[in-house]
Amino acid sequence: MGDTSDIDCGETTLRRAGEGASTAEVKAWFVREVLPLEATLVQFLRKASRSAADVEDLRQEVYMRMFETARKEIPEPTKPLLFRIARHLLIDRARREQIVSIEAVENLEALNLAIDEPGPDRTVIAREELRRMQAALDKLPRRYRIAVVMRKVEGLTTREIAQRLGIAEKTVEKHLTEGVRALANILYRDRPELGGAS
Amino acid sequence: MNAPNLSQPNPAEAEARAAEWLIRQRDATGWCAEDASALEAWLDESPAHLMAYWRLEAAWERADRLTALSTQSKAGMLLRASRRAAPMAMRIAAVLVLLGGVAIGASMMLPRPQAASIYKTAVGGREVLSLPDGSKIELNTDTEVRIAGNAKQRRVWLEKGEVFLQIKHDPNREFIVLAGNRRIVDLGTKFIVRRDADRLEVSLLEGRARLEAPDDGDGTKSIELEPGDLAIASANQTTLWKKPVAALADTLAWRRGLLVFDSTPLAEVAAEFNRYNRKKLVVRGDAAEKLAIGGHFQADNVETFARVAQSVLGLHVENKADVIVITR
Repeated sequence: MGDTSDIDCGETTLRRAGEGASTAEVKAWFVREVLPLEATLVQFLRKASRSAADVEDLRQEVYMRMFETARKEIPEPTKPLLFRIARHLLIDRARREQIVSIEAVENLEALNLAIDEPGPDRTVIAREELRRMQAALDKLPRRYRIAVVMRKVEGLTTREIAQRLGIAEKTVEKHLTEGVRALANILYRDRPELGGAS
Repeated sequence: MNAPNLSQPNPAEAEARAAEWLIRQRDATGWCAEDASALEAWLDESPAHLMAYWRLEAAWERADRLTALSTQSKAGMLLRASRRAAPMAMRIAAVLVLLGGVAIGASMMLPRPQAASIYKTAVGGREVLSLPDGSKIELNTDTEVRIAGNAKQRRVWLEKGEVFLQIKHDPNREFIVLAGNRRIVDLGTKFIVRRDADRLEVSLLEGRARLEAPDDGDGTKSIELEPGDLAIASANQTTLWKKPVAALADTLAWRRGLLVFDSTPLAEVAAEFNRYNRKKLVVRGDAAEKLAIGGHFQADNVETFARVAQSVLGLHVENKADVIVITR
């Protein structure tokens, strides 16, 4: 006892800690600030895109650029930057493809308005969160839901679920992976995109 | 649309791979060091991989709330229930109904902590706080705590009184109890912290915790606590006692509304009762104060204790409106 010490006990070291924000900080920020904006972002991108795949490409690009920015310094506030990046991306692409239609320009103007819509409330209390989780589970296709509930509520492993249901482990794994993807879409977009695009 | 770009993988593909990694990584079995480094390598390939993984992981962890709310016994019930031949849809319905009941029952469920929230109990009161991460904090009589947390840490300020903490340890989100100028850092623990006017007691039942105090200079001294350790800190010194864990567990009798004494001087017994009751016990005279008392008593029933003191111990008891005076 009696040693003078900095707090380092029990802390995990951070992967890829460099100058600027640590990976753990970026991750915490991403989960706390960026993901709750996904519904609004996707709505924004959808208005200016031609296909669902297009929206996904753009969303991925936005997240990557947000990540690169945050690695240097966590942006504050997050929302205006997110939509600035999205807008630049749309404009860049329109220029490159020389398809700046009147419609696109109109959309870009209209999109400015959408940015100030109140985003999802981040301070939902736990009970609401639980209700939301239940609603999200309800929306999952039945076979995914069964696997997810067995894993999450009962804490079973993939093998145990397979044994219980009498199906192959590979199948359970598939149900879980599709389940978590669908869950993310429901939670972050309120719009299930099931079955995966691959 | 765009020509395929090496730095930008196909989003659907990235997401599908991220989901596979996540599910395998979170499985209780079959995840080894090679898997871990393969995942690291995949995440390092592109920020798109990392983003896809973080996004799914966050969604998956939000579903942990379901786990946190189904206690062991309830999970056990689910397990047994689902072994029966009920159609799967019905089993799932049962799960959701159960969770719904839990949600309504948990009246003091905390909001996801952002700003500090204050929780108090009155004299004689007792309250259980369930945190979203599955940790539990039980407040004993006349206790006040402030709770705050963010993605990186969870903090509880013990303003006064006594708490029993059962902490879900998370190395990325440390849990710190602050009491005056002392800090207790959870390293995976069940422990009790009691703060009286001029002293602080920390009893560790399970796991480990670190008690930190300012030293004479600007730094901190710290003591690593093990199960059975009782640390008693006054204004500027800390004493460490080793006790059997069972003896420490007696100090948790308050969770069942009981006080347990074992050769405890009557003056201390009175002080204990007075924490729980508005009607105060007053012990007068050296002989009475030092009388050793043993046994189990209802914390909120000071009248019964007074009767026992009179009939069994042969003490003189004077029962007034708001005090009970005991003399020998």
